[in-house]
Amino acid sequence: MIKILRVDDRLLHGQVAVAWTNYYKADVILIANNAMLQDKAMQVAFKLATPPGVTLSMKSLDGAAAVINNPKHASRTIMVITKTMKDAEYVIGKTGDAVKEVLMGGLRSGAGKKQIDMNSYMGEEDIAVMNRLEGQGIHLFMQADPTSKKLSCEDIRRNYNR
Amino acid sequence: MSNIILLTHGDFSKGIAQSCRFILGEAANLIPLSITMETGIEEALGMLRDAVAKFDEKEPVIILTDIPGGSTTQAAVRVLGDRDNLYLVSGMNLGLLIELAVTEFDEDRAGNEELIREAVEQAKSNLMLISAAADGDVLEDDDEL
Repeated sequence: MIKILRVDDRLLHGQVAVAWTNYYKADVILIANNAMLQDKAMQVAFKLATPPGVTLSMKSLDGAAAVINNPKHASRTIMVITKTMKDAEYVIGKTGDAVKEVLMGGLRSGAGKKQIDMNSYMGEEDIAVMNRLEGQGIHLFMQADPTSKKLSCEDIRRNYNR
Repeated sequence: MSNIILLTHGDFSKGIAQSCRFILGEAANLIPLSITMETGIEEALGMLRDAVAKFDEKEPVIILTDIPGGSTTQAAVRVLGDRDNLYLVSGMNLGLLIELAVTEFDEDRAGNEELIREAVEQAKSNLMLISAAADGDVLEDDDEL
């Protein structure tokens, strides 16, 4: 079962990994990222950041979709992580209705991006992706860690347009 | 909240306390103490006893020192007998400090010792040589986990 899809541009890191894995009781962290497959240092760093007792699976976007679509893993509690909203939309587009919730957080600043939350920035394209996914009935929200304030799509749009 | 006294050569204690707060916030009572080239063992003892006295007699207090053979640890060993609920671990690192900071201790000495021992074992396992070049695992981009 896909418990949550997190969008975080650092993918898997330290306390956030531990906090969210605990919160969702995930026993699989599935990182979906094409560049990671050629980047040994990234792979080693993610292995080190994986909490004990949790299975780490590192795949391309298509590979991650194949894992999600494999009925063999239905009994596992999976947290998927993508680097961008676009990647999230790509994976969701290939996996039917497997993903029901998208958690945004840790989206770094960049050209044309506006600050939404203390540590998160979104651009026009990110907002468009969010709106499309929301239109498909997916529940999206933004939260840095389980103890911080949750922002709904409405909050995010308001912060983007202010 | 865990009560932890950090005693090190120089400002390591202040730095590691700051690093711990960076990650956890104010999750534990941390008292960083430093000895310098001029600090005698009696002076170090005095600092430790003053720090221990800030906590209630029954409350568990853990003293962390930097290296086992140093005068930090030698001073701390001499304070251990002052109270029942006092513990000493040498060779601290940030992983150990974080683990101890979030552990719930109580008045049960044997139970506390077990919790501290577990944290020490976990901290030891965090000490490792990391070599990306030596990581021989080849990723299979298939539908298996």
